[in-house]
Amino acid sequence: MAPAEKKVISFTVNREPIEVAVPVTRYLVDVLREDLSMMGTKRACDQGVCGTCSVILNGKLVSSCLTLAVRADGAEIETIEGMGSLEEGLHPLQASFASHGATQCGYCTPGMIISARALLDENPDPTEEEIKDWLTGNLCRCTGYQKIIEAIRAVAEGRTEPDPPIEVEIVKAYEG
Amino acid sequence: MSDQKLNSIGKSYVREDGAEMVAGLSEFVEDINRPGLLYGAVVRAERPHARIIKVDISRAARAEGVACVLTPEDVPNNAYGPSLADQPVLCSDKIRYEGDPVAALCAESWEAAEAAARLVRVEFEDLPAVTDPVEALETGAPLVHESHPTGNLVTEGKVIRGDVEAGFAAADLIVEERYRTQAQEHASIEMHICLAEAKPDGTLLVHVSSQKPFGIRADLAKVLGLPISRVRVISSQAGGAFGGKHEIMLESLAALCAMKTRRPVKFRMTREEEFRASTVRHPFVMDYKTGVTKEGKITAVQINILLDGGAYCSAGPGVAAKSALMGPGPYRIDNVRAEFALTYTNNGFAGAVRGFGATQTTYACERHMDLIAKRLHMDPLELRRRNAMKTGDPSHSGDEITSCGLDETMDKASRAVNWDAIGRGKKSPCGTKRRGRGMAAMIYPVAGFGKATPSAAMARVNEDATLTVITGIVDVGQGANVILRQVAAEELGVDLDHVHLVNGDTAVAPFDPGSTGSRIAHLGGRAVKAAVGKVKMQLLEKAAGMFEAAADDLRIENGEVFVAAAPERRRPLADVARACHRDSELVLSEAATRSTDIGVDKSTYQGKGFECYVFATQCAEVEVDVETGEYRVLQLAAAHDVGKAINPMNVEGQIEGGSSMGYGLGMMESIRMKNGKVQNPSFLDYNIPTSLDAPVESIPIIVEAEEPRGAYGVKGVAEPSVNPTAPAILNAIEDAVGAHVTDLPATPEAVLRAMAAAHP
Repeated sequence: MAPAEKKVISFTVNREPIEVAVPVTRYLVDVLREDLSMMGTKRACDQGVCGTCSVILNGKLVSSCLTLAVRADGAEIETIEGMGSLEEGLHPLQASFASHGATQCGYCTPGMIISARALLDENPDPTEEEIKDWLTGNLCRCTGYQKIIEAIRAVAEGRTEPDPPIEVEIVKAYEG
Repeated sequence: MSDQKLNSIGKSYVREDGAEMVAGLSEFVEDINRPGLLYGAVVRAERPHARIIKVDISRAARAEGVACVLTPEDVPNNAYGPSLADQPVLCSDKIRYEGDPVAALCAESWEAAEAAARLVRVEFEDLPAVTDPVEALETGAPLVHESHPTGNLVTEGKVIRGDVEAGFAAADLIVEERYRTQAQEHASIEMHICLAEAKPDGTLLVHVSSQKPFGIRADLAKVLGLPISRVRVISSQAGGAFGGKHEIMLESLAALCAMKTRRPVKFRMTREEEFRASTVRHPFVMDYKTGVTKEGKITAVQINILLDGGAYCSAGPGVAAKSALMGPGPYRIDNVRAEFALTYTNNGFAGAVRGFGATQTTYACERHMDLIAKRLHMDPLELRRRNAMKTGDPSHSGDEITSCGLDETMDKASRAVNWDAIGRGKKSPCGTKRRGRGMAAMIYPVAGFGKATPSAAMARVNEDATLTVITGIVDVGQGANVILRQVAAEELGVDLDHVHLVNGDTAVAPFDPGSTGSRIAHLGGRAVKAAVGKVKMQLLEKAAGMFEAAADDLRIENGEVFVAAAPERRRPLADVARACHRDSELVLSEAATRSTDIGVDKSTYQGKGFECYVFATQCAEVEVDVETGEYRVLQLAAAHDVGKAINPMNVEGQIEGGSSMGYGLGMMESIRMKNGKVQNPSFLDYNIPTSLDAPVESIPIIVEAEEPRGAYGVKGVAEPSVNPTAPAILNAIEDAVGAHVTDLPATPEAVLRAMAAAHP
């Protein structure tokens, strides 16, 4: 197999300017992960169906597994690493996902949060139905989506903590 | 137990790993890099049944960037499997399903490896394939494993209690029906992946995404011919498992490549390989025959279960037996006969999947209960109440049910959806839609069966009185880490943030059979509690000298030791820990626990079957469009008896997540096979539930029937939450529009067909 032709591209990732030579056949997810060692963005289908590799490119939500890196030349890219950090403080969406138990295995989480960010950028106060509609491009196998939806609604309402703190009803079994 | 004041148990602590996950910092195997890393690819059969004539690797071996190519000759012991060693690492003589591996290689990049894999030439002689489990058992059917003594019958067995013939004779009504379920993919969002390194000292280090790091270690040692102590398995954060990360898939290939090249090697499955080559949920054919009196008392049940195991046995025998033992449902029935037969076919091989066989029989049992209720003109809730198991009743394997909250789950779930007021074909405001109500109940066992399984933990109190707990238990997303820390914090009497957990490394932790069978909270919790209890005793004895009081008279709470009768006499626990270290008294302990499910008589499957049992009832209200067959779930109340809920938010997440997977099984998911080949191997063509499939209103309810043997009364929750959802929703659809769908999934087309059959 002949190595693919390379092209030097430049773009910003989380406001940091980057210049990198990439094969013209390489996808953005691989440039982020392999060339830039930014492991927050995951991949899970390589078909643009699961949303795990979601990033924001020039303000729009895209699947980085379907976006050729050369198409990102000159673009502004935002990834999960740019949303917030443990040291400098989490973004409200990140804090809300954690406190609502919206993460289980955590593999879909970065893509899910990036997607939620793109939703709130476009529609700061979405209804539950609008959240459900928006998230169809992000698959999660663990949670059943309820807590993810609640976590996003909370941020739209200016909270990051669940309200009420525990929704689930707990009852003791009858004695005897 | 209920009166005990608890500080950590029962609180919805946020998982400590949650912050890493949301920041994108969790380290999955895919995120681990090594200098000089090689990338693997597997050459698969792509046909269901064939003899291998010749494998030519010469072009692949010469291809650019290829470091090594593996053939069966490279595998020291080329047979493995969780139940029977019927599976080759690389096929040498014949292939048995389309995903069978015939060669593997590694190269300098994923692209180079995939390109080289296409250069391997395999000459096959195709054999007639058998892809239907009924045909597989007919005489003259092509044999999948020629050397298996019972042909295509992997194994069979029967659960026998009482006398079913006498039970049927005592019945006023006998109801019979056949139900079928389909192959379901685990669809973990993270695909199978591993990274192997051959260390200079002869140790093999393998980073895995697995539920069972110790099982992987044992299988690797066997396949590679290495002592177990030379194999170190480290389980990274797993991106979902659901039973799919239960056995070796790629690990032996990566290990062999690493040993051959002396370089680190990563192997991963593509999403297509996940569908074609990894395990799936066993498709079932189930015949139910139930005798019932006109008052609704079940007098006997006869169940015949046929499982399509596909090409290899995997966890099949356990799945089959558990399905039969749970098949009669959470009902007190004196006369039971449940027979199972597990077959080989040339379909993709089936294995462990969340719910482990009981998912399929719970589906059939609960659809059948509604059919019986309909014939009796009885409310389905009332029929279930009249037969519901109670604490002290025998299970279907004859052991005593030591805690049962089934009645409470029925009360709570039905009340939550307002059962008496909803459903029964009511029109909704929109003209073409009808509403229906449905319910399903469930029994599920905690921990494996047939042999006792151990769990162990080590506890170490550091100089500052923080606690380090070491276990072999891995968190695959279900939240095991936080609940084990909660148990440890409660037992020692310190804050949760003073407890640190070290796990997932077979070189450090004591043996654990793995995160399977919803056993972790119960057995793992017991081991952690016992180990921490020992260090606590040691600290109290040390403190006794410092306080000049008896150890029995001292208490530890919130990180302080005090005299129970004179609470003002107190000092920080750290003082005691420091005193121990100053006096060279190391505060460390270990404790092992094992389940008491010591075994059953295999001729009747009677005996001590399981550790304990959980129960649940789910009630659904659906709205069905009579013109399109489409439907949506308006409300789903899921009441689960989990014993004591250590972390209610975690339990809630397990209930909702399991219900979602059950919804997928019932409504949409199906691996479509044609002549032994998967027709829909992608998320484009195999749909799993999306956010739009979440119920309009989700009502999780926790019922706590505390289990005397569990730490603080805990039983378990993770697996069985998948089981009642599909039958509850199908019962609701039938209530709404009369569609008697028996075979899953209930697609809109299937609903329309069943409606047409009901109203010709």
